[in-house]
Amino acid sequence: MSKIQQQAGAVHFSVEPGRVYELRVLFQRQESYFNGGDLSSTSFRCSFYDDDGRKLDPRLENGEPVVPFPETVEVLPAGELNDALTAAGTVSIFLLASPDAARLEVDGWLEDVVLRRVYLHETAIEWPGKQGQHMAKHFEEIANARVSLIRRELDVTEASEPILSEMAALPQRQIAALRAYFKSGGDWQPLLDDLHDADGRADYRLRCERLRSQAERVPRVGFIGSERGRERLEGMAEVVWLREAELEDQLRYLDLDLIVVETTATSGAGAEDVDWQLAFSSLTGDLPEKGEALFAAAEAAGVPVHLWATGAPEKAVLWLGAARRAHRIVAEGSREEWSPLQPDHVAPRATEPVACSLAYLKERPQDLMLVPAASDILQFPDFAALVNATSLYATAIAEFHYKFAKTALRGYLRNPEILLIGEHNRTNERALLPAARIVLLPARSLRSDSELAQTAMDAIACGAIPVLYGTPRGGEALLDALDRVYSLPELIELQALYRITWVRERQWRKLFRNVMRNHVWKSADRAALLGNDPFEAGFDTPRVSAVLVTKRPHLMKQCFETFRRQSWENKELVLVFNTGVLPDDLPVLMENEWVFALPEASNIGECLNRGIGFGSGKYWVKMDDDDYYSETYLEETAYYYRSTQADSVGRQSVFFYFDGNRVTSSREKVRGRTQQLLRVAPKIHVAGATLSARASQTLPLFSLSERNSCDSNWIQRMVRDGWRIFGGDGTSMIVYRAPDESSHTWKLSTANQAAGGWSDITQSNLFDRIERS
Amino acid sequence: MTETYVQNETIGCMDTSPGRFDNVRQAVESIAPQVDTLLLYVNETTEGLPEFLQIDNVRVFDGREHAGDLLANGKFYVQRYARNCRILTLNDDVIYPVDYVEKNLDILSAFDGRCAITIEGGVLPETVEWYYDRTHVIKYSDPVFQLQLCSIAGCDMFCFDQRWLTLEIDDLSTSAINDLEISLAARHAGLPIWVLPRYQNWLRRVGVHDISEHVSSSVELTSFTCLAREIDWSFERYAEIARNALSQAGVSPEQISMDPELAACLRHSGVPALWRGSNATYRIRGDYLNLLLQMQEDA
Repeated sequence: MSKIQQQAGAVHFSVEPGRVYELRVLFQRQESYFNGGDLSSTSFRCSFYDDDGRKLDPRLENGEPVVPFPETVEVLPAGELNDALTAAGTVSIFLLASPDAARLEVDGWLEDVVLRRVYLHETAIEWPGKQGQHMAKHFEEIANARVSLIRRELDVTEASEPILSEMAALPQRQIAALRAYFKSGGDWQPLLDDLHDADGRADYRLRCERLRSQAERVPRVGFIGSERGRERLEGMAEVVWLREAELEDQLRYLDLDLIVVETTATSGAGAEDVDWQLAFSSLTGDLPEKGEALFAAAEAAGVPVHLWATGAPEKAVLWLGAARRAHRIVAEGSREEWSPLQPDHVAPRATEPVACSLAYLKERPQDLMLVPAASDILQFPDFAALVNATSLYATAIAEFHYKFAKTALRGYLRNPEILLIGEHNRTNERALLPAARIVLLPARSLRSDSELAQTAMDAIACGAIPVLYGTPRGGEALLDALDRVYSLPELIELQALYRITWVRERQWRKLFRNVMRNHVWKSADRAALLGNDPFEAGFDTPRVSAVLVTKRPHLMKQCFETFRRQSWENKELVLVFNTGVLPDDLPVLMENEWVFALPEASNIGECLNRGIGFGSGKYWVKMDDDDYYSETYLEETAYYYRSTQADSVGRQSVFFYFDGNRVTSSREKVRGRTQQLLRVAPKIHVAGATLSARASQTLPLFSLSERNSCDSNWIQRMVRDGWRIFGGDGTSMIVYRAPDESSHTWKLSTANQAAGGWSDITQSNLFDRIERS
Repeated sequence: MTETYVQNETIGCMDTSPGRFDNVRQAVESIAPQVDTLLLYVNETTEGLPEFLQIDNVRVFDGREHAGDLLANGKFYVQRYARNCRILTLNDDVIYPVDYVEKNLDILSAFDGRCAITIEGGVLPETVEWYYDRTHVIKYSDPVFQLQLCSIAGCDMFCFDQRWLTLEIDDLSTSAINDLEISLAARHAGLPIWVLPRYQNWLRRVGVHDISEHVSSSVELTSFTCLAREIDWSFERYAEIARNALSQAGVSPEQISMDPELAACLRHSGVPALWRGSNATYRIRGDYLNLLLQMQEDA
């Protein structure tokens, strides 16, 4: 297993984050005069370090060490070791490798003690199932046998009795802690009850309307293809299903600008609406009669037909006839894989963030895993075995690509706790994906990699983390970027890691940026398919104005640094010194940086309003002078607006760094508010340091009279007036608290902390850890 | 007739004894059509052995005319009558599926014979206190979805190529051929031991018993434990053997349907779940400590 290196007084092993290890150690006294032939004890340390050699705080998981570490362990007396003593004196200690752990160091035992043996065994225990139960039994037997052997081999005195008691008690405590940590949770049923809830569909329509309202001219498109294809166009076009039976009338009366035919075998929403079956493709590549009729009718009506090649490129040759007749061919993927169609434009495989949106309408449920690949379960027994087992998250199985019979699958899976969702439509998919923490996809699948990647990008855009079972077949960069698991224990380890807010969000945000950068259509792609881009130039990279008000000129350097390292290129800084004067040591300003001074008498509201008024961005983002902002903070803000079509986007202040004692604390209470539209009081709250909004004359201004509750009152006015507010993540901004609490506008009392469910999670600034990815 | 050698053939090697004659017909009938020759060693006496005349590729070795009662070693005794053959050791109480030999040979030929294949496999932890220490045990009835690597093969259903592995046993009458011996022989020959992929209950036992991964009635530490303690059983060691075999054969893990986790660990790093501690590991540790206790009591 892991490599071992021995240095003076310390032993090192390489480890995997989130994995459970059994450390076996055998300590022995060096000198025979110590304690005679009796058992004694020693303390020692086990510490995890990350790749950069930084020590990891054992509280990183949830505020306290998951597995209790013994204060002392038994030490054998000096002398020859036989088989019985060696086995009985070998201590087993379970260790849970911290998130980011790369190395374990064992050291710190007493000077007159020798470490005779040390092994680190990786384990693959399925803790939530029966194996977890059996572990307690096995270790009871092991402990009893060890104690009996020690009693027979050594002259054990009464003084050693507490050591012998602890020999039996420690493994039981550790196993109980591990079983608690790996306890199964989650419940899909409430979500299923809401599956047909109209709110979700209404919000989807609203988001599409809001996006369309930003278009300079909305084209009218007759569409033949998949539900997913249609939803991707709905935010940028007025889309009508073209029906076989109504084609003539539709062409005559709908005044279509364009017809888009997607490379799918059928068209329509739902089983009863399906038509155009195999109308545009064939084994020979010839265009079937029905398809030819459409092209002819469109030509007669003067409406161009564009072929939109999506899905599996392996089927390109079936569409040759349609490609020959189409006015334009737009393919998703690479030019090489679609080469038989000779596409006019190649776009990335993409998702539409307004459709697969982060705008979840309630608190996101925990511990849910979606497996949208029922057909693969029936096809691949190893995948079936993985899904069928008891893991940490409640499992729901659906099928996003093929039809499947629930009863057939139920007969195949014996785990009654697995939920099967047989009904398949795009509305359900949009409801299921954002509810899932993890979306499990099989790398070996009946569907193509391009189809797997589509599901993965939809899941990420909705706020879920896709995880691959197995090694991807290759060629899809997004699949290569996903977590992989190969066995049930690995899945369980990953699920446990993703119960930790900062670990989960760090990974999701990385994937989200990947999707938004590489898998959302840009102007050229829209223009290629629709003839013209409906949106104005610069729509994809809106200008973001960072408005920063400070009374502390000594923090000016940090303010500039925070702004200048932002990854979003179309940005500007409006820095307002609320001190009446500009500092003498202002740096040379860039062309997108502006500084002003307002007298101290001006309240924060006035400073903000004037800064916002000056800014030229599509969105303004308030930033504080001392807090920690991720370098992708502005970029992700822009993406949140694109996805949610909110009027205001903020973040939750989940993590606080206290500079006085150099500790990062986490605030449990607000974790539940992340990644959702804030609609229900009292949860409508975002951190003052993270306020942002569309630049609009109609949105409320900050109060010119309040001094201490300016931020929260602005939010309340937004809520009162019915504006749409999105609460984003809890990790892209970490609150800084100076050693002197009185220096902050918002005073954080001990009572605040007690009421807020705070817990210290690391003796360092978590920001550095979150930013390394 | 039995003194002649067979060469360059696919050979099944089986042993049986009078108490098992009820089962052996089904076993022989299922496997004989799949091999060129089936060498059947009959312990004690052939009296009462079912008539195999209609299966002309079965060669019966009467223990009375050869080495006497060799118990399970009979299947190894008959191998001396084969040269440069592909050998499949076989149990006499198993009904072999029609593709049993084909599946074994598919893998063997992919490596040009430079590997061994087993039905029952086990993995020893990196460091061993007791020979029966295991991280995982794969039984004949267990499903194995894709090709796995193990460190200990079950000698009862084992496949290899004599060109690359010879099992030379000095005295078959006194020492039982042990899984450890054949596994170490494969290791010394630089051959990986693959566990054959199959569905659950692909192999059916007739008549009797399950195979246990260790003999709990033993009240002493055997020489196998001493031997096993001296050896580095780490995955890294076996991964190196597997990588060399793949490289020599010029095949990729995907071409032989290798378990993806194993393939990933061979390509990059890490330890597959099969090679990490499981419930079995701790159950066996308890057994070991209890054995030591029992030995103390006996002493």
